[in-house]
Amino acid sequence: VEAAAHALPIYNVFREDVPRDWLTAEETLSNAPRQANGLFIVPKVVE
Amino acid sequence: MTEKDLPALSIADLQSLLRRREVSAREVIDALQARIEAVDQDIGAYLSLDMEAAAQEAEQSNVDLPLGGVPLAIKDIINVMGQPCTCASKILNGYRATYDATVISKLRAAGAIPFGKTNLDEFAMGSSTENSAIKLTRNPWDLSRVPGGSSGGSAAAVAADAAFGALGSDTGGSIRQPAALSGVVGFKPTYGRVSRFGLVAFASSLDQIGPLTKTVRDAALMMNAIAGHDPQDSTALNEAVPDYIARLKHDLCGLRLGLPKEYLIEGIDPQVKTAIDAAVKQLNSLGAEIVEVSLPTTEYAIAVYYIVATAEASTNLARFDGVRYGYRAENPKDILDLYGRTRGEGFGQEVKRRIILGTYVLSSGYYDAYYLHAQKVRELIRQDFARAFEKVDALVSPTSPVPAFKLGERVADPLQMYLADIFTIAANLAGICGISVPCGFAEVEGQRLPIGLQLLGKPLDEARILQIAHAYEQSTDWHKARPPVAQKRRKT
Repeated sequence: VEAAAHALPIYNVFREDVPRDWLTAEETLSNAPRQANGLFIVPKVVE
Repeated sequence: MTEKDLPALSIADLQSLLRRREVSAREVIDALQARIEAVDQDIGAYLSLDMEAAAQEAEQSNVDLPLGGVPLAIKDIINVMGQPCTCASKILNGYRATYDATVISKLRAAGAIPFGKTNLDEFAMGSSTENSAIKLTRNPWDLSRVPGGSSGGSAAAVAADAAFGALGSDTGGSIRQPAALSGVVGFKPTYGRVSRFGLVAFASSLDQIGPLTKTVRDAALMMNAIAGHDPQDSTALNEAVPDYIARLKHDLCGLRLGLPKEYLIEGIDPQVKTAIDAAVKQLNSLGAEIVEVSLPTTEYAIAVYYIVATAEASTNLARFDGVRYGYRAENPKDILDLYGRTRGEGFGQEVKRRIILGTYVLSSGYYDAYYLHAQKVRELIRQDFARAFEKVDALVSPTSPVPAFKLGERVADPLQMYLADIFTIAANLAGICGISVPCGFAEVEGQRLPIGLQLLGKPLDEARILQIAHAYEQSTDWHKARPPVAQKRRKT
């Protein structure tokens, strides 16, 4: 038996790669627990 | 029209009043708000309400649109711009949606007003809504019992006349099972029929959004608005959408309905069995031919589901890391501490159980033994249904083997809870459509508890399933029964 990847036969779905408006940086950051200067703030990850 | 108990109306009846200008969309919002204030302290269906915005939208609504001026409740796992989307989890505490899910844009385009978010099992993982990290929802028919789940808030709101209709999501029965236990109609479309864009993902190959309503006609009305292709969801099928209302007028003559013999298991409540037997007889008397069919792989469905669904959940829920949105643990000492404690503190017990199980079945050395194996059995389950549908137009079964159980009764035993979805789970694995429609009551400890009849249909055969459900519903009075909590406040 072939393993099911999906229940229905859906194969690759392509579209043209065109830019469009989506969330602004401000909207994207609006839910961040910590943010500053247009960036998500996390504990330091490099020494 | 002030005498009329507006919130008790179906969407279709509400619309005819709105269109005849006998009531304004604003009056509808006010009546609904009063109703919610009167009953929701008992029921606990809602997690958040935005009645002010709803009132403003109502003032500007065009009631001649397909759902013009109709307020609808939304399961709190679907993004509605500007409103919280908690998934009933601590980990999304404080999150506000920055965009509308496609179903919400479509409902708005049809004139509907999404005014409030309903309770659920955390991330839709559960069958009683008791896994909500925020609050309990009670069954309007008996406040000591669960409303079912995971779309328990949506089901309870509609049952208690605290919503005209609602959206839910169904990954293993999460629309149909609470609809059955709360005595409303719940419809799970074919996988890909409705866009999942903006639905917080639990198990991406199983999740599907659908309506919970008072009548089958209302479910068809909502399906007309939300079904269809969406370039933002690559699994949304690019197939024409029929008018689901148009088909409702057809009768059942010449249709063949299958009774899966594997579904007549021990453990079905005798009152549920009696109600289903009567419903099958009724369908037969309406002109449908009843034949026995076999779905031999039925017994493996729950095992397969809890491998596939947990595997997908474990990857989907990795996005909750305390960085971009939602809850973050305090004073993390480094980034790994931030991830670890955020998830440890933010996720509830059942969600953690499923993430751990899913991570295990996907881990190197176990992938072939569990996940790959499960996907093969899933294919066999799909083939079982395909073979059955060569012989019949739809399958008939109970939605749930038992009526609503007591709050707390199954919490301690996850396996008992998982068995609540025994009749609904296979449909998600096979990607087919299904509905639960009220078909009677069980008398338990002096209370009437609703029973649901499940009809399952071929992929993209929604119109036929709605047609059969409608014909059955209209030949009975079950959908007209209201729970005690709805009688209580009819003062006017």
